[in-house]
Amino acid sequence: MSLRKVLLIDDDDAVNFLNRRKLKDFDPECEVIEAIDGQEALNYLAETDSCPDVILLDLNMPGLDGFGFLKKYEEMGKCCNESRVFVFIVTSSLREEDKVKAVTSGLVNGYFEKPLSENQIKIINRLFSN
Amino acid sequence: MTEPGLNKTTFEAIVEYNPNALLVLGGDGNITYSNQKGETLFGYSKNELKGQPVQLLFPRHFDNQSQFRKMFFEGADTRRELTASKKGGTDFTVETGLTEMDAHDGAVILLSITDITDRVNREATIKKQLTELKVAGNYLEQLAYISAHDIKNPIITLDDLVNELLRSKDLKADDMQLLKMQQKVIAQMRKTNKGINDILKLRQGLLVKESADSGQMTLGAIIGNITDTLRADIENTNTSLKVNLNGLSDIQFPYLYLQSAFYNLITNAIKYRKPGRDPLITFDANRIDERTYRFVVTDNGLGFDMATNKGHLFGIFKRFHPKIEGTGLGLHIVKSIVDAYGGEIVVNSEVDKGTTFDIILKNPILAQ
Repeated sequence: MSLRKVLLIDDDDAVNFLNRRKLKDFDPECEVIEAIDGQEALNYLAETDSCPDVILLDLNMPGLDGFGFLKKYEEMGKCCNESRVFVFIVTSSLREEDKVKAVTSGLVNGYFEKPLSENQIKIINRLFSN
Repeated sequence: MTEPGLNKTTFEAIVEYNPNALLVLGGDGNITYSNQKGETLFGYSKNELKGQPVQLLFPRHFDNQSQFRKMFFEGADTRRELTASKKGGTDFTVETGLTEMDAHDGAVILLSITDITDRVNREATIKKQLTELKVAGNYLEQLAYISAHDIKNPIITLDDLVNELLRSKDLKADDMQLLKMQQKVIAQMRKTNKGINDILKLRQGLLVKESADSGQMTLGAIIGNITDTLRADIENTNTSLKVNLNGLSDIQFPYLYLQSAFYNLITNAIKYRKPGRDPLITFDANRIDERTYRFVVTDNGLGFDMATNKGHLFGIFKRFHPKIEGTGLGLHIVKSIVDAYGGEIVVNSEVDKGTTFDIILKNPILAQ
């Protein structure tokens, strides 16, 4: 079993562009959705018929940031109740408190420092497929 | 009562030439004796002091005997830090100690007074330096944050992009993809540049704080400077800026820090105007008490959702309108300035209606 659909949330479109390429390199069949902030991602999740397998989430973003997204995502309850949606933080934040806050939120399955490597995509896939 | 080797004259001299002011009060609280230091400290001669009620020297604390007794004899420790007044009315800070004793001609009170003005001033200086240190520490934290977010981020992505670019060449990726990547490399370069500019701006904010004590200017002149600087923006956007200084135009303030805070708030009000509606901005100044002032800046602009943004309104890089160019530093700088002067800032906003910033702060310059 492999990743079918991934939602990328990062205010930097170059990061989304690169992560899309890496995911497509890993599996050309993978559907990749991009959002520039938490709100755009929530709008997508509200409309879509199929929840993504994986959400890759940046923390520092203008507008609705990573933690703001997690809070609303939980409140919305649509996809986060599905045990098969995995959320991974992909950030450049060096703040230990960010890591602790994210990991202890109960909504996050992993925490990676940017940039996302091929190896990390393999790890994400393995976590998801198990 | 004399000790061996010390005669009565010596004891009298010890009292008379004591480095602390020593006063003896009768049972009625009137001064019966002052030593030399008492004369020089308060500026009254011994004869002027004799027979005067002790409250003459501490008019800020009590104006009758019973208040005086209550103040000193409440609690075990009779030492107090008080404001004393010299002849002519100049205030200074003293530490007093007091003993009640039975003399052969009835109960008397011995009052020892030490001038601690220098110590109080030193303490005030240390407190001020601590505040400055705290502000500097805060800036340092922000600097680290900027370095991580605005510089490190684009560089990491740049590195990643270049790697992909090289890999694409090996794989003979199509030209459109290569072109797209080249454009993104350039965009990342520009972001790096912008990150450096933001650090320079932050440094400028620190300079504003540093020079806060160095110069003063009237409120009228500060607002005049801002409106002059923004004249073109005000005219181009058809903004009405209504300034009500309510008679405070001539009050002196440390101009650089206030100017920076007001400038940020007014430029924000213009920048985040509601399309299709002429910006209306009011600036109100009011005096609350001798040192405390209130400034209210109101606009009829885009506003923002208070519920979503509560708790991190003044956070660094907090931006409410991602589509309008900004660094997310403006409000943070305003808040840092207000904090540095022990003030408060409250914001109220409603989407599409407008925003109000309410600032209360103490003017470090005492009005003449």
